[in-house]
Amino acid sequence: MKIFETLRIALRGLISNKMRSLLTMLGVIIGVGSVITLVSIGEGVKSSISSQIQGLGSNLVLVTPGKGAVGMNASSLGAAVSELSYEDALAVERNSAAVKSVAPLIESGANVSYQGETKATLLSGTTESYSDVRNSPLAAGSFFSIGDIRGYRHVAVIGDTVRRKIFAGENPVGKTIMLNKTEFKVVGVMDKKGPTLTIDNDDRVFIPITVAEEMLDTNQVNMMFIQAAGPDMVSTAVAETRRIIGSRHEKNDFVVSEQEDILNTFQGIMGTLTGMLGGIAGVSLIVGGIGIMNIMLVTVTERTREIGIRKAVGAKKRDIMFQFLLESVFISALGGILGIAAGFFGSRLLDRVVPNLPTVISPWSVPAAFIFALLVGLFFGIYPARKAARLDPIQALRYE
Amino acid sequence: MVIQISNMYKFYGLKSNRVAALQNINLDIGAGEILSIMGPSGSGKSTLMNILGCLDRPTSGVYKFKGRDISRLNDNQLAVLRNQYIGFVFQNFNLLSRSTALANVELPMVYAGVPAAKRRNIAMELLEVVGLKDRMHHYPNELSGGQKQRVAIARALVNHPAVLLADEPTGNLDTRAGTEIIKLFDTLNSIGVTVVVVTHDSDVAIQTRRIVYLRDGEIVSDVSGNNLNKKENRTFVYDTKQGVVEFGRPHERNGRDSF
Repeated sequence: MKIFETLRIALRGLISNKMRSLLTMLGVIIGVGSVITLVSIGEGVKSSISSQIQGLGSNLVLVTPGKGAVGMNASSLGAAVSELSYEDALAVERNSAAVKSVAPLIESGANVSYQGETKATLLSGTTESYSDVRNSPLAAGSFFSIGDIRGYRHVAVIGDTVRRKIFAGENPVGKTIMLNKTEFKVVGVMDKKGPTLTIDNDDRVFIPITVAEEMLDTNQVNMMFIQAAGPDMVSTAVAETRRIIGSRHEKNDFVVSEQEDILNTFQGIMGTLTGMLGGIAGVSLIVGGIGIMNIMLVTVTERTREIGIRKAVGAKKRDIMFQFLLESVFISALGGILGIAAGFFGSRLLDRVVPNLPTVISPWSVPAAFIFALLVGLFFGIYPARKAARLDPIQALRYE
Repeated sequence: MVIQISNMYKFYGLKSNRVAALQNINLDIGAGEILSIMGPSGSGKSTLMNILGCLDRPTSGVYKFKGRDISRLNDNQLAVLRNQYIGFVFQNFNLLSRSTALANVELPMVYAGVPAAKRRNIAMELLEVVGLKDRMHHYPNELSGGQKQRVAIARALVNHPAVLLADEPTGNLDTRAGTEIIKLFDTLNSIGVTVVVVTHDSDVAIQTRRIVYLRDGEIVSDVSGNNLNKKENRTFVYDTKQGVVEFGRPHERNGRDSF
């Protein structure tokens, strides 16, 4: 018998029970929809953070304290005591031809206030090259200079969030703010960078590193951003940084890593997470498949007599098998298509409702979810279809 | 011979308490015959019919259909046999309730792989033959019992079967509709279709040329001849000594099996 003919019969079986078919389909719709939506969250976070890492600057090398394989762990968690210092940074800048400039960071929480408006923020002591190294232009004024660093001047550059919160429309450049009860003059305002997930990159105040050392009574640098002289100089810069800082330290207590390494590690982690999200959603697809099997078993029982009639007039086992298998595959296919629509809708909706959680629909998740749905329909359709095909024609005809 | 059965048995159940539904059946049916199979309920009529129709297999013995031993055929070959050589008519019509009369008649041709347009033409022709041309787009629940049975007969005929098997075809019909169906069988037989009718109704049986009488799974009488032909107002009764005998007026009871 031709496939087309079987398809027609299967389709009519479904149409004759619209509500039931739709509800069964719903399991697949939700399954496929949630796979696509959850994977789009994972992909969204991945691409957002990846672009953030790439946005750190160009030709970047990171030096962080600790022994981890890749940086950004110890310092951001505050787990290790940093043995890196401003002097290390100066040594690297002076002694390596592959290094263009170095921006060390001493970071601490601080309260910033202006005319009674107070706000908790992140205080960063750094050098004049920070703006260049981090590829962060200024919206107003200028970054502090090497003279400000050498002269221990109380000058500050503020982030966009700080400006909005405590200056409310006023031009901050030239104004005096209080940082932990110390007066600083605002010399510049950073351009808005936008948030990374929930971390606000604009909620910061930068001051000369020398002033920070004095004020926070520390010479521990939390991390260093090093800009290589060019794209082909990055690996040389990494090697030389290792050598120079290594020669100044007794122990191997720092990690030098390329931006690329960080990106790869991070993308690896996110890939696993995204896969996990997809897998969890995939379970709901399997539950949907069980729903299909359940309803197909009911259908086979209900239509026992019909099966008997078909067999009596000459339907072969495989004709009956095909008919019911096609029905379940059809449910899952149609559910899959509607599920794709639901997935697109879901990720859009999430984008709207939670703007901090970006979603990107990954191109592989759509066909993967659809094919998985088809396979689920096929797999869970086999048992009911076999049951139908194996019915004894005489008993099937007698069935009331 | 279309059908040759020799020394056939059919048992149900497991060995310890198995029940013989058919015993030592020997039956030859020639091409172009029209015969009825009679017997009280439980006598094995339907079992015999199912085996004749290749819906069931005998436990032992030989059943040759057009010379082929069907015990050697697998399920698929039996399906082809049912599809190509056997037309079935049931007491309760067994039409697909969600399909129109036309689609029901087309059904065997669907499994025979006949192209859609040709299928439609053949089905329409046959519906015309059975007098339902104006009802072909109706669903079974919109048809009377007699009309349903005529749809079933049209369905049974579409693949030009070698034999038309009817299991109590008039059992659910009123007398007039039943008579029409029997007339239709007669007409079909006159153009060469082999017809086997299982029936309780002696009015139906007397219109065939041969009556096979079953009791307790055995053929106890197999009578054919002119005396069975076209008699009216007669009832046939099984007599233990004489076999099937002609007996008085219809439905008269005489302390014996009346049918």
